[in-house]
Amino acid sequence: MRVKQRRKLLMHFLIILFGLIMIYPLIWMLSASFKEDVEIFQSTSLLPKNPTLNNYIYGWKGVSGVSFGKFFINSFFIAIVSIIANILSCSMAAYAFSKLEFKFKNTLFAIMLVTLMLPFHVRLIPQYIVFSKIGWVNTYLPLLVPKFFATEGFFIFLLVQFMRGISNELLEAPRIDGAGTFRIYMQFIMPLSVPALVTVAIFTFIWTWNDFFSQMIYLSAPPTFTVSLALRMFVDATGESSWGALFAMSCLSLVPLLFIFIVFQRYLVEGIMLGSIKG
Amino acid sequence: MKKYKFNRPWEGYAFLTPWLLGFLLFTAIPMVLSLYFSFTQYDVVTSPKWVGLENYIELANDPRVHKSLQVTFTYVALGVPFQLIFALLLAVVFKNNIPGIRIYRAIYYLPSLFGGSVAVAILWRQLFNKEGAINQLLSLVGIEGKNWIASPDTALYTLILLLIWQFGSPMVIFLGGLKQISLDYYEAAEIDGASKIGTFFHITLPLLTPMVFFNIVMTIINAFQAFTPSYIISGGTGAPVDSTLFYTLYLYIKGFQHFSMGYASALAWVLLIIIAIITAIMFLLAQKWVYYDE
Amino acid sequence: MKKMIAIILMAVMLMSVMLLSACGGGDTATEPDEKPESTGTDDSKPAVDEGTSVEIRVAWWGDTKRHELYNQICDVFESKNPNIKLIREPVSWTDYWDKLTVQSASGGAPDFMGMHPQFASDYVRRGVLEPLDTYVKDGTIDLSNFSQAAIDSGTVNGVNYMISMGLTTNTVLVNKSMLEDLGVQIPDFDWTWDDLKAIGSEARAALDAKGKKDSWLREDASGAYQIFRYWARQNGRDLYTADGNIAYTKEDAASWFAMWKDLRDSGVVPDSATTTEYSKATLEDSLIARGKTAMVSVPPNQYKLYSAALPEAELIMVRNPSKPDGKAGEFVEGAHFAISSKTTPEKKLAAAKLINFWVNDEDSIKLFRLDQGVPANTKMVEFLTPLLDEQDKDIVDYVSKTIEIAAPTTFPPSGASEVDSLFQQIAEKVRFDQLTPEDAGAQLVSEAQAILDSNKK
Repeated sequence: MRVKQRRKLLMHFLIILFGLIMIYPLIWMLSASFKEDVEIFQSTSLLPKNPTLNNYIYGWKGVSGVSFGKFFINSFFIAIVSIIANILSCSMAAYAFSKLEFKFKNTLFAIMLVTLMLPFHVRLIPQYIVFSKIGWVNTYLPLLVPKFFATEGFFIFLLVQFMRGISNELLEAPRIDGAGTFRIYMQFIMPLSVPALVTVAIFTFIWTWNDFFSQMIYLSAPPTFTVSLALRMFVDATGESSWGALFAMSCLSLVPLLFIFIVFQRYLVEGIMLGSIKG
Repeated sequence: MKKYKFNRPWEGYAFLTPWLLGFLLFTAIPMVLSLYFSFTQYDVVTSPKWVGLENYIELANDPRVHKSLQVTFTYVALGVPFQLIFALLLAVVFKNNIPGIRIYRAIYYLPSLFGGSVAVAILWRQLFNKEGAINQLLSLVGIEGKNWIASPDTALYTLILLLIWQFGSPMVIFLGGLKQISLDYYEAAEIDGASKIGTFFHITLPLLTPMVFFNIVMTIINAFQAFTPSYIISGGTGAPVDSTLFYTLYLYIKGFQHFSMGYASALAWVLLIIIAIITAIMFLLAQKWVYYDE
Repeated sequence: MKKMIAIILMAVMLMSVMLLSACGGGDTATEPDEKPESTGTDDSKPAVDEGTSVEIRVAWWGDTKRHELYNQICDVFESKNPNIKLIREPVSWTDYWDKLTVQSASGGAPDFMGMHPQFASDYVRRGVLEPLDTYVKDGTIDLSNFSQAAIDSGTVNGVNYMISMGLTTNTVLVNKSMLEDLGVQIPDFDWTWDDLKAIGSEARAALDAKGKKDSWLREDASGAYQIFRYWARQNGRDLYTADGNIAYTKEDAASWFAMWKDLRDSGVVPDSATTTEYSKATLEDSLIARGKTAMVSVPPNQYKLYSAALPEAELIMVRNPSKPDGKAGEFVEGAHFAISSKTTPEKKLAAAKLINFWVNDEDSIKLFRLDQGVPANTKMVEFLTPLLDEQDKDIVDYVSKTIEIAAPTTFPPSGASEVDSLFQQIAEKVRFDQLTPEDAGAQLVSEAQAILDSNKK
């Protein structure tokens, strides 16, 4: 018993120690966010000499007269719409690829994978030309509408892998009871896929929250900026960068991400009770 | 196991409609256009001029293409396995309900929340530069460190470490996959008196293979297209002396900084073919080891 | 069943449409291709109705303080021109150029935009910028108080494409306090590359005596093409000939790389890894701001920013080193304003008015001040002088002194930004001893010329 407890303690100690090493850069950033701008690069100490909240105050004022609060709202809007869009559209495609039978299924699946292999930068210009012809530039449409059409193959593939693991025998009973393809999707596939759908939601949130290249290309007016775009505005190679404000706002921008992760990991790891369906 | 057929043929297409539309509207057009550009001289502003295979011939003889392929293959070959092994180990540890587990998971996931934020560049420098934290640690044991991030022989490895550091996504996917494994299997194993390690190799791992396969395929596809790490840390140059010149970074330099979008498109299609071949091989091999509990 | 599926699809479509109306109705949508392109240098200016209101997109790069400042200038302009609404598109330096590349692809460059010499040739020579001669001729843009050098800086092949935001040159910023501490000689306003070497050796000895192994006299500028331009001009050459070829010889380049190798080997400038590490560092994070070097070559209008980053030190400005019997390396530098050639005549006119206001109006100049250098309008310099503080006056002083020495230069051909990055690459290879200075010189000239040739196709 003693030995077991000691081993447990040792395990906790190791997890914490290693965890601290992992997040050392973040601790450094947190400390830098309370330092004065001049001190950030001139001292190596983790403790600020004169802790100050100025970085947070200055940073929150935002960019070009638009406060950071607005950027948070914009980022939330994009992230939430993207989550809904991805969950709907990708789960439909994944259901078709994993559980339904139709001609050219494998070919279409291969095409779907190939679309993931073309580097983003060469797609960007043709895409931009198309979106500018239909007048969508400087709106959120180029960032959101494609997601309603399952353009994120990563999630389709992820859901396919997960749905293939749902036992076919399990689906046979309702089928015999006369449930149609759609009812099986809604009442069995979707609930059983909750852990995977939560993964899709978390990743979509994080990735759209952090994405900068396409947001930078499509959004120009500061009132439409997102958090990740606004953060980039603090650093400028030719002028005076506001490092303190950058670190302060970077810390704040991690809060929603961390919050989402902590709340949703329950569903992710612990799943939901599926006993009733399994019976 | 008998094949499960229950849908009418058109129902498959019905569920696939959003994807098909999205593919035709938002993906296919840009892809076809970029394929066309790859056979042209296209400076982005004036209209493309057809040059046939010229771009492809030029890139076959471009020493910076060779260098960037070497850098990218090293990055994939070293970064991907370590990242995935690390992610799998931690997923297995974090699956259990030990006290404080939620906090631990969150801490270990934190680095991955960062993405390619501008702050990462500066943080990485704080770790790996001459006076960085790593060297301060080394000096405690009397080793004089070097400038890891700016030396041609070590710069790439700091980027590989960055990839491994951000192992959160595959970890989460493994966690989801582990959850899907029915407890019945473990109960059966316990009754048979299997050891923990035996259970892992004979039950957990085989049942997790769909997710392992997914993670391998996607991490490789994404690592081949890695751009942000080198873009933010080398300032978009691939410095020092091209030692962090990722393939897509070179593509970006050609297309966006040198206005050779035709050449960049050719580079992109060559990469697509490389990735497609590797992915196809992985799918062929998968039939031998990936197990679907259908 | 059919019904059910139809319902989901409808829902998906409906959501997209809702989104469309939610965001598409925003006030910033633009239609870049709404009018046929203008016809180059055509003198006949289309008649424009002055009464109708017009919206133009205004883009610049910069830091957060500049964004505030430019917004103020735009506000004043709007209040004076109620018919013109300015949609501001502020962005940081790196993103500015990525964005402009993509936007140019669909003719969607901002109506009014900043242009920097590093990239200007790529845009001018590809027809992205509107020729401004008609606006200058009819007085919309008033250049009567501009010096010839200022006008020339925006002129390519006799056509005026860009209006100077402000004139600047290049300076060596010296941390005088640090040199005094070390007991090292302070360079004169005029000094030579040999002086640099001599002061550098003194500094090395003094730094070693203090145990400061990780400090140096100055940064390694061997990869700075603009400073190499000084070197080439001091040899009586330049970067480019008027007809768009390489104007320096491989010996010019080889001797440049050899000199820096010597400075590096003798510890005057940092080792190669340190140089790489700091090559992309921002101002606050630079070697000089960290107190690791005592000198840096920068545009003089950044004097104030460096002074702010080093609050306890006294900084002075001296010329870039010269050659004892050589010519002056100085030339007029600085960023420009330009107008997109792909926009409508109404918008072009509004953008031209904004340019005129920005550089010629006291209400703008008293805000704009020295942000991009000394105003090109000499009357505005007179107006501004009493409003300036000591540091500002030092900047004006330095710029006017060096502009006096400055000689005309050629405008870079297209492909210049690629040559610039080739130069940096080759310089880096020399730093890491992968190329000898001699081979580097030869390789630079032949590869740079090849890039220019392929751009002429």
